[in-house]
Amino acid sequence: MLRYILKRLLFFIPTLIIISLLAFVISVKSPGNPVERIISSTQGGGEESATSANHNDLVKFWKHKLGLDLPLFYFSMQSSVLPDSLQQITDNDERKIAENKILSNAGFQKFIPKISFHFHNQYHRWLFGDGETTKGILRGDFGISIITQQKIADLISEKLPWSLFFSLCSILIAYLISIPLGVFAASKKGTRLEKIVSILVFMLPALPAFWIATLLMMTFSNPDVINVLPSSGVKPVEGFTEGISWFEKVKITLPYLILPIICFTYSSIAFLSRTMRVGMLETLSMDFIRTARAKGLSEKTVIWKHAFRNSLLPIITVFANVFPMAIGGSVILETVFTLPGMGFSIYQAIGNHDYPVIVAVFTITGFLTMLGYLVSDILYAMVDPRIKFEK
Amino acid sequence: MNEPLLQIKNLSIDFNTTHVVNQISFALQQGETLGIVGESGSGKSVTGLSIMQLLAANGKISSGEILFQTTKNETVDLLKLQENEIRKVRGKEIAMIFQEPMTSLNPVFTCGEQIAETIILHHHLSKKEAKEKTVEWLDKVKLPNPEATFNKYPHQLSGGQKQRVMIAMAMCCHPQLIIADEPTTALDVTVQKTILELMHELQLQNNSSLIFISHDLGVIAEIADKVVVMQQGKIVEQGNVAEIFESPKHPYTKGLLACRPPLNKRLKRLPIIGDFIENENKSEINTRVSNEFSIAEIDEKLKSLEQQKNILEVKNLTVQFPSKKNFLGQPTEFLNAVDNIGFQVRQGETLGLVGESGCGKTTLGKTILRLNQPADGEILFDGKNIFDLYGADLMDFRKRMQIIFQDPYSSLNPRMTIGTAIQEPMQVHSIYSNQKEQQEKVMELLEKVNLKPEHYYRYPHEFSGGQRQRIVIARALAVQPEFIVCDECVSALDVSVQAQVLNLLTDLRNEFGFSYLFISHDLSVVNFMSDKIMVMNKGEIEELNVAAEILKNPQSNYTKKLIDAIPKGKFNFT
Repeated sequence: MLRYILKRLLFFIPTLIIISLLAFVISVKSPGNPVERIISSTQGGGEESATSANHNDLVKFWKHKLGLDLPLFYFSMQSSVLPDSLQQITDNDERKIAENKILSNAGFQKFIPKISFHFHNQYHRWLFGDGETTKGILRGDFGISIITQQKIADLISEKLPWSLFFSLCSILIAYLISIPLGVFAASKKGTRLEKIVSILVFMLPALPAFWIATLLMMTFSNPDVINVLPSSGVKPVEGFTEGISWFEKVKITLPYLILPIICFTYSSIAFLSRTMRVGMLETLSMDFIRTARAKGLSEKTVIWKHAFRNSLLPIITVFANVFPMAIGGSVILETVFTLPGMGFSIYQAIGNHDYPVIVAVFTITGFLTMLGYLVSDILYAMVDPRIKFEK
Repeated sequence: MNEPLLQIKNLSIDFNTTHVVNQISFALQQGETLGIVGESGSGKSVTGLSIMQLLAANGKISSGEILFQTTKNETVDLLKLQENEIRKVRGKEIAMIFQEPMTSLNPVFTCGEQIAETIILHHHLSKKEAKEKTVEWLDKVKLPNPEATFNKYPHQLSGGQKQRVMIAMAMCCHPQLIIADEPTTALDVTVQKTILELMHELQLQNNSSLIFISHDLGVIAEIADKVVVMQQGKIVEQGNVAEIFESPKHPYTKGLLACRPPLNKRLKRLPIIGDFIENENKSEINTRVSNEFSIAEIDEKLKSLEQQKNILEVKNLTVQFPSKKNFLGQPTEFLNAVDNIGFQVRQGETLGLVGESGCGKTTLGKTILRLNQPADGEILFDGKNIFDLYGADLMDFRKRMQIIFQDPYSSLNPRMTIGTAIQEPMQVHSIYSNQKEQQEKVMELLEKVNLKPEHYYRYPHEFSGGQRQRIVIARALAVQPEFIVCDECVSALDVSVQAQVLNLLTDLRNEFGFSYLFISHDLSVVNFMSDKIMVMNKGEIEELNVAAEILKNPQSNYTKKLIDAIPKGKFNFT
């Protein structure tokens, strides 16, 4: 088992490297000049104080500070006639002109490639940091949002836990409801009760979340109808009173979570219970189920002991796909319930072309996808002994 | 005589609206073995399942009673029992052994757990006691190292070993009646022999009764005291095993007995059940049954084959599969599926290839078609090494060599009409000038394999197993091949259908002069088809000789063991 997990983990390394490379390329190639943006924003509005020479110094300063004067990657390939010092020219356009000048003057030698290696490069700095200004994404430093000037790591650590909390809660609850529901639908297939339940369950995903959310709010947090649950936020507006215990906090928070979690959960129940039902039906038609019945086992034992474990594989597969969605959250539900989740931040970042934030989300999603697959791989091996032994 | 242990009276079973079992009655005494014989669809398995009340949800028992004498000496009608009452009978008083050991054990529990479960359920023992009991039973069914086997999962055991686990599971509560539904059909003959011996031995120890359901008359002759012959849901004949095998009365029984290819002689054509039913009381049958090849005829055929050129020549062929892989998935050790093999097939000759599962016979067949790459050696087809062919030469080779696979159910695309399926190879090789001509040719081929031209537009699911195999044969014939590899092409079929397909293959050989490589695990089938027989074991050739010689005069011990393991009972019906 340990060997199996280690092997899985080892296979993740190349994928993670590819994800990081993709994220890095996106961040480098994203439109806009970060240096110019910083300079214009630090100088404040409209002052004409910066002379051209002053401006060049500033560019040089910021380029160095952001590490943009470093080569891109661990190695680079260019024509052998181009000198390394070309990299020192900070302005992209000027560098291009210089490059072209050198190339047009050079003879056949310009066709000879030259590979040079650089330990200090932008990718390395992006991953591991430079020890001064940035710590690198591996240590959780995703840089600074270009819109809010806030540290992205702070933004994520503030919003992501809530997104994860809501998503994981809803995944957990959805699984807890739909697995027994699917088993029920499979074992009682064709009975009237099963048909009614199945139809009801299938109507759920057809109902739009914002509608259900509004409906729930209008029913349960409406002074005119029933006013038992708060309608927005995740804690009292005035904040917690000083010095209350952790348990008290949970007790106060709980009512705020009920409606959002219902809305996060209900639509996935149909899909999950259907997956479970199909898996269960297939297992129930297997020969070994007949063997189990021939032993004289009760129908309950046959279903929950012999059929259940065998029909879990499809629903585990689904888990790997649900997991990465957890980070995204739901813009609509976050808006309706005023929740502090990632969904709205991502939406804003996309609208504002806030590339550092988008890249950060991209990297984290990639990582979580991998994590989802790892978890489902391990679950596979736990459920089906045949998988462990395959070398 | 005592009250019978089991008595079935006028039992009828319907599936939806079709009568699957129709008014059958039979009885079984304590300690007796009853064989139920019939082809697929005759209702024999359904009868077995109905005794246990394990019919699928759409199966309904419409009339009759099943009287069973319990250990408390009460006679109960199993059909009238409530669900919780019948559960006490299942596994404890009546146990069942199923056909497919591969799928009949739960893959996620260890074999030991699955046996112990039954013991705990019916004997109310603690887990520890049940484990001891289980290990005892694993020893009784002669599994090596029972302690270790207890903790093994089904996929870690071989087919024969799994069937032993099934037997232990069925026997461990000392049931009075064991229903065995084709328990050895999926196993090799040599394994089948040991399993039958084991079942017989345990049955004597327990003094239990056995209902043995099988399509194989040889197995029934070996094991049964009484025989029930079923056809289309009805019992056509029942009696003592000697009566049935020595003087069968019903034409269906006669047909079933006759359509198995015999081992001691070689027939020109196999009799089929239809002959017997149509020509009941006519003397014509006798002449048909005795249409065997004389020794002189066989010699003559072999001599004329000597004159022919070699169409296929296999030289020092070795095919390997990786058996162990390292951490990165690179193979580190190899298993020789085919190990340094050499033989020739002459134009018009049929070479039979026999061996148990895993001996490399299918791998060899695939390699001859260049569907596998060899590790070493060469295969010459019409003088050219097939592994050097490319482009047009390769296309030409593919056209001249065809294969017929084992399973007619999975070797036809369910979304393609059979007409287009047969026509497709013609299009690939651009035979015949246009679509219309190809279509006509397909219809001609359909007639050739005893199907109707109007079947062109039908889909595979509308056909029975035997018909599908004929469609597959027609597809192989579509490109006018010279050499056909038949890989277990009749082993999924009933004996009577098998006889028809084998007859068709011989007819086609006589008409077109094909050479066959006929791969099968069944020596009698191979004997019927082949001029020469090659016996394979663990990737190597054990013996290669003229068919009659192999059977009469086997040289290697392995061949002797194979021939010896063929079930025939004490009756000389073949």
